[in-house]
Amino acid sequence: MKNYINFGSSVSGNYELIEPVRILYNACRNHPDFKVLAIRSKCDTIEVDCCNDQVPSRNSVGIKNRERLALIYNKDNTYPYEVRALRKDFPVTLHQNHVPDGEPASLCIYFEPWTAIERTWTPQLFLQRILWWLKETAGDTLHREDQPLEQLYFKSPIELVLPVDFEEKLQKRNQTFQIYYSTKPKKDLIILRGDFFQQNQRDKHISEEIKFECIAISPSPVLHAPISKFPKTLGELNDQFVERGSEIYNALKEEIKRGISSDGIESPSGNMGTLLILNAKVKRDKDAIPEKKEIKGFFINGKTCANLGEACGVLSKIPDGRYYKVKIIGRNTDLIDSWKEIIIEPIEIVSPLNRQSAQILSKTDEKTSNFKGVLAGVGALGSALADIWSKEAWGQWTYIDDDYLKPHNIVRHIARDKNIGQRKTDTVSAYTSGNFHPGYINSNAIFGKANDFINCKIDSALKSSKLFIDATTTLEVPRDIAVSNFAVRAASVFITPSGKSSVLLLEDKDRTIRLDSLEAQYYRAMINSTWGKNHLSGHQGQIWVGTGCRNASMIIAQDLILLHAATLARQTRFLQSYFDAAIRIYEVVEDNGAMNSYDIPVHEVKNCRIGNWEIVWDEVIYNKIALLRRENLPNETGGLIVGFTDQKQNRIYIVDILEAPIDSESSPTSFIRGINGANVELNKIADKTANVVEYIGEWHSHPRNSSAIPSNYDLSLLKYLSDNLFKEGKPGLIVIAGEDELSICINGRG
Amino acid sequence: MAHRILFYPVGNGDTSQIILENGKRILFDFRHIKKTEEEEGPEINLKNRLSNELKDSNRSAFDVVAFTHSDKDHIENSTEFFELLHADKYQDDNRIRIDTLWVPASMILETATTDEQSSEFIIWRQEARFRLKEGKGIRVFSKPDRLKDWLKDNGLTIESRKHLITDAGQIVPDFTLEEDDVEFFCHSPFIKHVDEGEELRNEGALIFNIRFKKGLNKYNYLSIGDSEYSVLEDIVSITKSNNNTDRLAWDLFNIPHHCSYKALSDEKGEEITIPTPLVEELLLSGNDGAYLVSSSNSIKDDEESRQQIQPPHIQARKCYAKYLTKNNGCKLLVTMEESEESDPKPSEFCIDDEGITLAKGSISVAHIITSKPAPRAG
Repeated sequence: MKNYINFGSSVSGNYELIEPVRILYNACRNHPDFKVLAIRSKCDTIEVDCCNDQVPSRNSVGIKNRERLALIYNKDNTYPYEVRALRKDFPVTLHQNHVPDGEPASLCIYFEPWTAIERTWTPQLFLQRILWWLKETAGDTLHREDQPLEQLYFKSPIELVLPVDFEEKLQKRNQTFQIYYSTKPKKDLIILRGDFFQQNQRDKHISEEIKFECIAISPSPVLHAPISKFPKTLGELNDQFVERGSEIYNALKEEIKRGISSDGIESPSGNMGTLLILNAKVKRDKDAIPEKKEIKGFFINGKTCANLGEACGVLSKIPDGRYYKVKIIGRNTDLIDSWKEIIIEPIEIVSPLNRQSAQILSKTDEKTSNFKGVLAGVGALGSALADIWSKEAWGQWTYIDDDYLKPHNIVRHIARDKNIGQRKTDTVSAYTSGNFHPGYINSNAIFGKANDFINCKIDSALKSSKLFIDATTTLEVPRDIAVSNFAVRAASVFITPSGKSSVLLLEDKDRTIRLDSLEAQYYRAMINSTWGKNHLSGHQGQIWVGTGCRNASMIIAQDLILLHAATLARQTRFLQSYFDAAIRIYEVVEDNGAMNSYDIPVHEVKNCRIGNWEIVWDEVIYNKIALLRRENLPNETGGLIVGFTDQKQNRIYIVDILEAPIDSESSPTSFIRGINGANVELNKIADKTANVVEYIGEWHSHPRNSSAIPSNYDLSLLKYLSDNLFKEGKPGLIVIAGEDELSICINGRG
Repeated sequence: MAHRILFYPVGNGDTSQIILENGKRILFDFRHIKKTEEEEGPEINLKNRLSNELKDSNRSAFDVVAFTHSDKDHIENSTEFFELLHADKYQDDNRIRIDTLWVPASMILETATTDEQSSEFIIWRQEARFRLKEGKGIRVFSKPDRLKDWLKDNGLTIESRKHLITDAGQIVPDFTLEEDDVEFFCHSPFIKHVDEGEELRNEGALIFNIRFKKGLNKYNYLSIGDSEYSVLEDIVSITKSNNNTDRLAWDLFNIPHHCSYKALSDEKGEEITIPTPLVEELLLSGNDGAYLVSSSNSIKDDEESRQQIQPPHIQARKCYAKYLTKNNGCKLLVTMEESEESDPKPSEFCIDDEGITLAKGSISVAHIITSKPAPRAG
């Protein structure tokens, strides 16, 4: 028992357990991880060995996988069942109750009050909870970063949040570490933040109410050793470091001296104490390189830096009340060692939010989340995406937009009233950087149009990125990105005019299927599906909601923007991890808040160049024509072609082909397309697609065993089409299906 | 990221596997039960399980397959699973490749009666001989005179095959702490184990101190398999006399021979087996927080178990448990007590920066109840 605290005398002979103890005793006897060793005190204490295979055998916290515990019942306690850890060197951890000096550690097993716990308490679940406490404490995860602190469970009411670059700046030693707060400290909970400031700046940041001083030191690396118990005095702390090949006494003296000019310092009145921060590095052996770091904090109650300096023998108080750096020869030996007796208490050091911890908390994979990306368009949707991805630390983004914030934007943007008149890029950049410690994130903001490839900033951002997200809600940006061979894998996201649906188009990793072709395939899916019927309703002749965004009369609630932004942010993140291209439609069901998702198959893209024109289609077009041809053999068949033309890029996109109107005339050697229902169908398509998809030409089939080479009749048809479409400046197009082949003719050339 | 050590339930013999953080896999022994292919259990369908594990990790081979010795329960149906290089009939796309085969010298030197010629241990003998002749893809442990003779008979010299042979007391060169975070120190077999007799497979079996490195710590796994106390005594005295005492320490100890008392002493004992002094030294070399693993059926503490001839022996279990407590070790795991007998699962240890833990998912009682039909209600 020499390693354990003898807590209550052992009961021998016959004894009778009261019911609350008996049920716990039986539960221990039947639990494979608990071994009953003795009954102690007045039959109210069960001494057990708890063998917990979920506690890592050499955890740095110092919990052992076999711990001797006393399970105590006392009906008068706040929690009638108490757990004491009997090992003399059981570590001081969070979530322990205060106990008199020399008593075994008392574990805070529950967060909730007993009145809530007792409703579901069973001895078996109590034992499980003990195992859980030990496991989580050993893994240092009992207190999670996102979990508010319950004051009851902590020895120290002080929490200190460090800056993200704490270690780096501490090493530079050209600035002073100071503390500040956001909310006025209360007695029972003080959340402090710390940062480095130039010496002459220090007073600006220190509020009158802050009565702490702070000393941060980096002792020389310590040797790896079993966990030490938290020291009670500065002397004990130093001894522990000396045992491990380091020390803190001299480092402390140096740091105190460093902060003092020749004018000396005062010992501020009303000082609540000093925070001592140790940035310790651990190495395997004497000559090894440090492999691990530990930051520990201690509160020195009632002592100022000046007091500490005096106790350490580096400062001396002179009659004017100030303290000066002096070297005193022949000091009183009592004074020489007085620093050793200074009482220290551990404080909670809270790590700041950095990209890595944001990724852990968001479950974004660190390995795949640190890429560079471009987010074009930071309006309503884009700003929400930027904020979400920033908080998740997914991607390092350059924001591009050429717009300013106006009052109506505030309704659907992450911006606030104070930002009106600012560039959207600047505001978004400031807000996303503001998710982290000042200066930690520097988002790149470019004011301009994302398809202005001549702009060298945009050109350079695109070249250094892995992913381009178009949230411009324009037609031109995704189409220009699609044809640019300098651009990277791209996705386009937008919300439909009604706000009820959103769309995600994503290129495959090799960019064999690009945004422009995905746009065409998206239209075909819309034309041929039930979801497409009202998909773009309220479009007012324009598809993208973005154009409406600039219109103060656009009506979409912020909740819909955020709903879609959340879905698109997550789905983009998820789908881009795969190789394939994707078209996804998300549709809100207003009645119950459900979200329908439509996964549109993406098909291989074909294209050919005829003269100045690039014709783009996909395998569905070919298969559909071939099928209709076969079904109508021995006769020819044909119909209308719908699609869209991009006059800037000189591209014609074939979206779909329609079946022959019923009044068409066909024979084994001819086909004359009828008109019955043709216009009605074209109007429907135009309406469904916000007037983007329109008539662009004619297709027909050739008979069995015939090639797709155009006949003289066909060339006449092409001329007829060209002459007419030219009136609108558009080329004429015919597509001919022969035996296992397809030909495309445009403006008489094919 | 962590190193993982898996112990398969006793239905799969002493099969165990080490999966290093760098992805390398070392399989010890192999016992596949045929009936599991017809989904008859309760044993694990080892072939499927290992194939799937490899597939999931994009691998088609084990870096090492070590047969500790050639008893049937350590090699059963293995010649149907692995690709053997010595004959075409053992080669097709479905078979699993072995980059390096580890065998004790006794497996090379096995002799067989006419009836035994198609036995798996003979097939493995052929494979080991083939690889040794080829001079690659094999490591042989110990070089007794009989091995030297065999090499000579086959026109080879010890010198030419020296790089493929590791003796007791040496570290296997295939892995290093620097490159792989692991090293294998060979404790056994000794030369005398092989030269002394043909029937002493257990005595000539592979025993390693496997040392892992993770974070700032090193961990020792004493991998024993089937062995008897006299071999362990030899190991303790020889290791000590060679100043390699640190190789006797253990954080993980694979209890020999399915928890047989014979690995502790020649006396079973009425209530508890008393280990011989040298074996006791080995047991006391366990580190704080260490684990013992018994690949065996569950071990009850009743009269029937006390009288049981075949292992596991309750008396031996008590002995191990006693020393575990003395060392402040954590647990003695019996593989078949770790999951339900009707659905045995491997026990998996993880070694990460913070030490060793047993990997297990917490399953609620409700889940267990709803995973089976409820008893009939009246």
